[in-house]
Amino acid sequence: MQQQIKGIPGSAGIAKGTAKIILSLGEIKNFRKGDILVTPATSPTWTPIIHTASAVVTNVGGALSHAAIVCREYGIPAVVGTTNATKIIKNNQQIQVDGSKGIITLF
Amino acid sequence: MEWFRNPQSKLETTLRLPILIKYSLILLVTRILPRLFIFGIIIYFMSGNLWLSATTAFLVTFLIEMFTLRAWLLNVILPRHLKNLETVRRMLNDLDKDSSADLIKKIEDSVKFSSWAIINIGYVALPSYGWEIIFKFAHKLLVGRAIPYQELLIGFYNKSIEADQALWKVAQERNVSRKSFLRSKFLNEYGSRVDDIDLSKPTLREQPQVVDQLIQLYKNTISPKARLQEAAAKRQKAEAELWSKLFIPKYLFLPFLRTVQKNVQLREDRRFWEFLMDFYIRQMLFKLAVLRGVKRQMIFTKSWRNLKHAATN
Repeated sequence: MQQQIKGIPGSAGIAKGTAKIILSLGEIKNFRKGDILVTPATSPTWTPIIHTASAVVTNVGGALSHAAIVCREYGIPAVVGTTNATKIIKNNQQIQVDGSKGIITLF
Repeated sequence: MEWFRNPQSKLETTLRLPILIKYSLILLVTRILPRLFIFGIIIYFMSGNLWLSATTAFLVTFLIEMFTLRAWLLNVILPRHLKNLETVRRMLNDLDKDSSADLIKKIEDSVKFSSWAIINIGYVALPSYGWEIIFKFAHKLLVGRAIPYQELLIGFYNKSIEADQALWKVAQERNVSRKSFLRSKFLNEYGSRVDDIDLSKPTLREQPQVVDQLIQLYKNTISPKARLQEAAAKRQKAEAELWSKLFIPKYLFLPFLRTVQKNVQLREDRRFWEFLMDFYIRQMLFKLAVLRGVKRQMIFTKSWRNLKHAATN
């Protein structure tokens, strides 16, 4: 059975892709357009990365968190408040983000 | 909690934090408590019930703030903040001639301006998030679950989208000198964004390699403006559907919806305005570090009292 992580639905939609754990802006050289951004939390500095991501996963935050608000504006699926996604998900792992149900499936 | 991801630096906790606390108390004493007190007294004289007067005064104050804070931000706080920002910018002009004592004075003045802005602009979080929470429940009562309420609140321009669009334009530019001009313009206008409330955190404009990587990332992507237009179209569709499912007349619901929409736009704008001074304050701190013979990043590990003492004695 595939491992799943539960979080809070932040922005509706489903996306599948390569997870990139980005802990600080300095690490964005590892990020490619269409990757899934997995990060502790986002701030306004991060919106350009969110715009190019296919989905966003954060450790902290709720439906009114920065990541959820920006993802809804950009129409990108997001699961927020997972507590420890940056620790469970591995860099470059294939994952599916279901922003409507708040579930991340790891492959 | 999205902010305060890491413990704050010693300089932040000894320089700006005490002033932030001071301005929070000033806001409480000059704006919130007088309203609570006046309404409480009036209702107490009318009802004679202390509990009723206290709770009603709280509710009335809350509602007044919800309806007035946006205008207060746009008409009172922002003009003053931008004027203060200009003053702080001018402080950088003679930085090379400044003594340590001059710099201490400039840093303290700038941090006061910055703290005043963070607290007053931060207070507008009340309507910008509060209206959405109220709307979430009202929408469920009046429309049911047929339309996700969040679809009615998307597709509005804000400072983050404006900044992203400006960056996207830099990425699409092919002429090298024009690209360089647009890049500098972008950094001057939107480069003050920070990751956390801490002067030790670099602003975006201080991370040129990050900016270049973002520009690279933005090549051949759909523009943020186009994404916003898609969101606006989605919202308009949701609104059209809303009117057919609403339990009350449209003319009663429309002003409520527009009030919520106007206020939620402030969520991103607020964060943009709050930290506009951080870049300039950091430049002053770096200059002070040079004068005191301290490594740039090490200055954030010092307490303000010690720095001030060493600089003025």
